[in-house]
Amino acid sequence: MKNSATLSASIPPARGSKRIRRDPMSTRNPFTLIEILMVFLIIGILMALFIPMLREAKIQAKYARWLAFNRSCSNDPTCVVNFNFQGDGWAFCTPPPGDKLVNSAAGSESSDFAPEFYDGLLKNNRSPTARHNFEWVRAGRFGRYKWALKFNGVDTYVLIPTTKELNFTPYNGFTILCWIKFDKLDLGDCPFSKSLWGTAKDASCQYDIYSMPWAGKFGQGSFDVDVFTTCGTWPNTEIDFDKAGWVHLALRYKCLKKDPATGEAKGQITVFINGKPLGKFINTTEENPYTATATDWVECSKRRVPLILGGAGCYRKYWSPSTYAKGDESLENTWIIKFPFQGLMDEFMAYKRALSDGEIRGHYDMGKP
Amino acid sequence: MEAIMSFLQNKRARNIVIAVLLFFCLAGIIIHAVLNAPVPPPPGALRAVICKKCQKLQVSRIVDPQNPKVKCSYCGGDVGMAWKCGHCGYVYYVVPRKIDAERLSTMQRFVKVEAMRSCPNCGESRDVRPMSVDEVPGFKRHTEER
Repeated sequence: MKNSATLSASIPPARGSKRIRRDPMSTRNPFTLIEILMVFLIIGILMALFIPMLREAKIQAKYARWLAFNRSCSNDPTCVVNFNFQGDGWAFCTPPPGDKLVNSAAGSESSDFAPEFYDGLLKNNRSPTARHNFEWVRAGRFGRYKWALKFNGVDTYVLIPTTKELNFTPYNGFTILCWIKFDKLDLGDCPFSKSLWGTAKDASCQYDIYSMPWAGKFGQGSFDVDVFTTCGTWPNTEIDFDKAGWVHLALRYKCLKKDPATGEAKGQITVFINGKPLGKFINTTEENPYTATATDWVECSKRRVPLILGGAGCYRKYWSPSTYAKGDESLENTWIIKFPFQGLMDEFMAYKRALSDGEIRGHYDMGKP
Repeated sequence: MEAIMSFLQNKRARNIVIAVLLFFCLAGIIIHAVLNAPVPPPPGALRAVICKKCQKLQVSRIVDPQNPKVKCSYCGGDVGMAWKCGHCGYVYYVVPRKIDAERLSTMQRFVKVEAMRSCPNCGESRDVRPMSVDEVPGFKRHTEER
């Protein structure tokens, strides 16, 4: 029996008998190497074509969403300043906006408000007549679709000449929002201010914000704000500004209580970074009572100190006596820009009311790259 | 005609030719994408710097003014940010250092920053400013850079 079984296995199947089916578990490949290579190449070609297109489409969609939102913000009756850094046009790839930032806020109910009064003028700190040294770059939050203004940290600042609607008081609220990108956080880099810094006994400030490198839990940097006569420092922002890229910064002042008898007001200052409110700040005015921060804020209104982007306003008589002319009370002679900011900015807004946490979060969500 | 027909019937040769064509197609697309990729603007801002060795003023694109990682184009030495004293007109570079100013008020901080940037020639600490690129001899920013 054993011998006959061995013999039958070695004989090939007779002609016309059923073909042996291939074992489905066989490891032999039904495709040739070239065929597999062709499939991979076709997939590669499709990916090379579509991935950049999808990426561009995503950026364009985000840009369109932000633009629509920004436009709706312009119709808010409390929005005084809205610079979208895109010039006059609302379309994609507009030409460079030129020598001024166009204010598109048009919803204000004030009878004597006109948006063009609050246009931002690009200026050179060395001389009022010198050509500005700003650079317009197509490198905003939405890549080549969004213009951004490069502040050089030396002599560039944006001047908003009209002050009336921006003269905020402690009895009202206000909110200022901007998208910025620091080249490197340096002590005193001031993205915006409405101030007249002088000496410990002679300094006036309505609002400003400046950077504080080395501060924070990990030394990653933080911010300091001055609102009226309060100076506040946030010890920890939990953001590494050198690596963060574009940052959404919002400063809000909310009037909580007003004493009609004394005229004193109690307010709450909050800084939001990327839509999140920072926690409790260190009140350095209370900690250092005899080396005050701003001694008042009224002087800024009286002297019509303008809001500027990219530096801190200071008294010329203290900070640049060599260029100060005694007896000349004009603003140009009174005031000089110090602590210039180096980096990019591509959106700036000012509201004459305290926005809610949700609204500020909404600004961030709609504008995040 | 016969040669073409025999080529088309030769599955192996036909597939190799198609694979080679696809490969060149993919390579072409990738090369085109790389060559036409939008070039981001250079980081940093144009700043006036001064060589610590040969004291020559020049313009460089600086990202971090505390630590400008550029070399002098004349002698290869380290450079620092150029500052000018408004009191005596002296041009110098600032040596940055870490300032512990977390719990100070604004004016106290400004005083500390002033001290770091004071003029080494006359000691003036307030009437000093970073030099503009317009003040660097021979640099024509508006025509060359824009």
